[in-house]
Amino acid sequence: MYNYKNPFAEYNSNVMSSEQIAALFADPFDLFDISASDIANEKSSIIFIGGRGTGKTMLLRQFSYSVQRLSLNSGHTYLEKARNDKYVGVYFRVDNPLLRSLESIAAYSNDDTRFAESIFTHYFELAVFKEYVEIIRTFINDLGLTPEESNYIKIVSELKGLLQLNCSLCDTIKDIEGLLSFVVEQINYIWKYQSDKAIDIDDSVKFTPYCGLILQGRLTNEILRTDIFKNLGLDDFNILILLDEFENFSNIQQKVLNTAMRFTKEYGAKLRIGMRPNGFKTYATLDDEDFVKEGRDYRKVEFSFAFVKKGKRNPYPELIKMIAQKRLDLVDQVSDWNIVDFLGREEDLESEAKEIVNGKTKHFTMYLKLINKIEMHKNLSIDDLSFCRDANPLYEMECLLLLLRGNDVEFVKKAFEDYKNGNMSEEQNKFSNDYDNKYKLSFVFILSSIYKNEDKKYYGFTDYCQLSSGIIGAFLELCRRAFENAYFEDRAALFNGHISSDIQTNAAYEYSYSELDMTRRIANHGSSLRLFVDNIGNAFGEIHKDLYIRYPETNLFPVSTNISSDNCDLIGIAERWSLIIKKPNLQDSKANGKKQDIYYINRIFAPAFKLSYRTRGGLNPIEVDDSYFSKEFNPKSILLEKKTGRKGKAKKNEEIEQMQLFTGAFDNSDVKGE
Amino acid sequence: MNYDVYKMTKIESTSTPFRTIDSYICFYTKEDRALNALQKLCVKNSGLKRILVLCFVDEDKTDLMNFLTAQKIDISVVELNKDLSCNLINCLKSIDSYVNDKTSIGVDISCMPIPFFAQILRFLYKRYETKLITIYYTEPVHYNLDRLFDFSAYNGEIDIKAIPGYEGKTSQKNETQRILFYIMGFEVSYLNRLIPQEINPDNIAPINGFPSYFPKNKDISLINNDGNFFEDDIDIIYAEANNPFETFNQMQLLMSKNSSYCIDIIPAGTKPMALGACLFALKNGNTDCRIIFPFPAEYNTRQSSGNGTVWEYAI
Repeated sequence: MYNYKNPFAEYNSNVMSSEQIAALFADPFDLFDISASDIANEKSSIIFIGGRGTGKTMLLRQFSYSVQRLSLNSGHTYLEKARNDKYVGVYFRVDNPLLRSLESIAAYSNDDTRFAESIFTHYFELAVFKEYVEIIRTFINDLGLTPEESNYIKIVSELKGLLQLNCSLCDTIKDIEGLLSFVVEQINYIWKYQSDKAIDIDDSVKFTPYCGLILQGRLTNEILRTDIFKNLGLDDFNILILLDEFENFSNIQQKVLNTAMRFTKEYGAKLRIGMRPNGFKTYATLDDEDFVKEGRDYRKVEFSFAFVKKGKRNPYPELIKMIAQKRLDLVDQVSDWNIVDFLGREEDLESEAKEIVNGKTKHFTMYLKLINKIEMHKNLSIDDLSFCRDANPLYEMECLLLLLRGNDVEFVKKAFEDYKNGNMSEEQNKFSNDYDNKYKLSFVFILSSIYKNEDKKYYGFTDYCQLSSGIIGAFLELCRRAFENAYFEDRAALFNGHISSDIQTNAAYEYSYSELDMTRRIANHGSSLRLFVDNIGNAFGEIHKDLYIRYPETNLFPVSTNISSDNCDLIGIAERWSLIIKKPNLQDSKANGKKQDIYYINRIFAPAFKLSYRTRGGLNPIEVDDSYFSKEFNPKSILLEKKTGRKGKAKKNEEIEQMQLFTGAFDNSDVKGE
Repeated sequence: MNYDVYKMTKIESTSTPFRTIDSYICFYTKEDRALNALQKLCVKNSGLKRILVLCFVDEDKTDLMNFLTAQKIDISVVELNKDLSCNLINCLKSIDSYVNDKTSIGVDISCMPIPFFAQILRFLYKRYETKLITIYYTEPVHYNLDRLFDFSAYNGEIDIKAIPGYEGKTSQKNETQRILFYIMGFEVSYLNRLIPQEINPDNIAPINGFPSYFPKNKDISLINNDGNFFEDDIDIIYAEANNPFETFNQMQLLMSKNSSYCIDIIPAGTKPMALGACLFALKNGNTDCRIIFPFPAEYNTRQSSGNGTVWEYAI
């Protein structure tokens, strides 16, 4: 018990050790369009696009040299593995503060763009080259070469040649260690220059590296034109530069990397890039006339689950079960169960509704007020509704909704009776279709908004799966919080393979609020993004409380074509940070009847705004325009607008065009990643 | 009582001798303590000849000008952009014109934003390597907390980057791990999210101010930072909130225990602790040690009220 460790504690692949990556990586290639050999061998660059936490880093690091050498067969060396795999991967992630520092160097040179490009190129070439040298050092050690041997001398000499060292410098570097130290020293020189420049009030500090600025590709690509790898027995062999968090690079820095991408197909190291949606700040290259283009220069792989082979089931639930199992297996106390055992398969809506209502009848009085506004029901009293009373408040809600939609009492009475008694009839069919396929979950949202004593619960594997919006990191964080709380609140149940619905719900709410709070801190645009998310979330929240259920569980929206360019940029940034997620293909917007991009609010915000954790098709009552970025936005206005022109008798069958999502009771197979 | 071990002196009464200072740099805001140490120095008539006052461009300077015109001292005011990322070269030029080998210099950091005094300190340290610098600091009586715990020194969006001059020797070391010396402060939640996202330290050494100015302060910083430390195996280090040398020593100790790590420092706690972090980074300039700061869209210049103890640190 005392050596228990939360199996989901390590959820940030950036800080995992290579050993953890190797142990926890769940092979997704059976489920995806791209294969491991494509990643290793494809000639052009590949860009993996996915939101925060979708697993890009995990995938890139899996191909890195440091993880690759952990999976050696016994008795084999890394060199032998590289010969067999025909690639080595250099994982390269530069943190944000470092990129900002590199960017600010230009500020000391009157914001000279060319200087900024050159210094980043210089840095990138040296930093990647250093990784090459480290890999070559491993190969040399694998071969047992000593500095006296001719092959060793030849390799070091070729590396020195690439660096274009002058004679005196060349003589001081005797071996691979010396070479590595020299490269590190040259990288450090950049930081020294920057530090000196920060206090250079006389403008006397100049950037004078050992042989001038290194040009694009002079180290990273030219190395493949030497005989170094051939001499190590590595023919027909790829170097993969696994470049993570491309979106963090500045405009100038991306131009440098785009240039590398542009020419990688002809020769040189192959780029494998991890990037968030809308991560390209520019498609330009260092050549003002040229740019990078999908298909010609790179292959784009959407790292969501939209690139699943057609006809296959959504692999997301299976993938996260597999990922969770790898983690559970490492902790003795919980290794006997799978994640569905802990979370339960799905929520029990009927029990939840009973808890919310707790024998009260407020939902009857609220609905009756509206029902009485319909001519045919104007004299209906609460006693007349006794036929709908049932132990299951969700049945009651279905009856009330049918009445509100203009069905007469006899129709509703028969529908309910036939449904309960299993008698087939037109009325029963209507009841069943509405109740089982459409509104069951919506009823719970409405009940929780009427009674306010109980928040909507979010628990069960299906809920967690949906809340995570196809983002593996979000699922792991939900589990981390649930397991953490369970350890303190109900350890006995946890070590017996169970976490209560309340504990899971609390974890979901905690995470939701924490994610919402985080949006405010997104660099440069946090306040505007927070306002936007609040407005859109509250607008959907209002729709979820609509007693007429005109737009059940809606969280989809298109963006108006008249939106200002600033707000259009904000939509792009919101997508990059996974605050909103774009549906894979253009879709019909019911708001204006045109085909356009449709987004949904990240479902992790569902608990914060009391929204459904699912994404359903159907009407989009919301089209985002500039008002959604304004403090004056009134979320209640959405339904007020929709009520205009609906005065008088409520329209029958208001659920027209509502897509059916379920075929019978809620089934786990309906979990759909977008 | 005087504390000489670290060359820090608690100024308890006007009879306490100040070190002789002829040039004085301070940062003016509307906080009560902004001019407290200077007023004490002027009352003491400690040989002050020149004062350089830094302040933000849009700061109301009426009180400052009223006070300064009553002093028969050479006075200059340098206005700085409210963006803490602004280039300080012109400010440093002004400072340079105030300092020479013969001047004795005092810097009041009570209300000076951390990135500013970190850069000024580094400038003086590099340019006048052997010069003794005296730092003044007035503790606040209250921090402006909303609803017991909420504190916002930095408003709006946060941009995490290195303080200019403290970039360290940051090569991209995939196999070298980074440790974060995180001086805990009150600021709620931003670091909880940004530390993992922007920096991704392999290890965190949180440093809390204890003893703090008031007993509750150390608890508030713990509560407000709980999200950073959910791992069971993270030990919190303590250093006196008003003692920069203690922070310095703790960091030296941490560095020796984690010699294989590159070091990132986030000075989110008290200014004396941030001063200790700067001294540490300057002393260890040859290692990979970087000071990262959450540069805000807007710096809140009214973080505290009242005048507490005044400290004098000789560095």
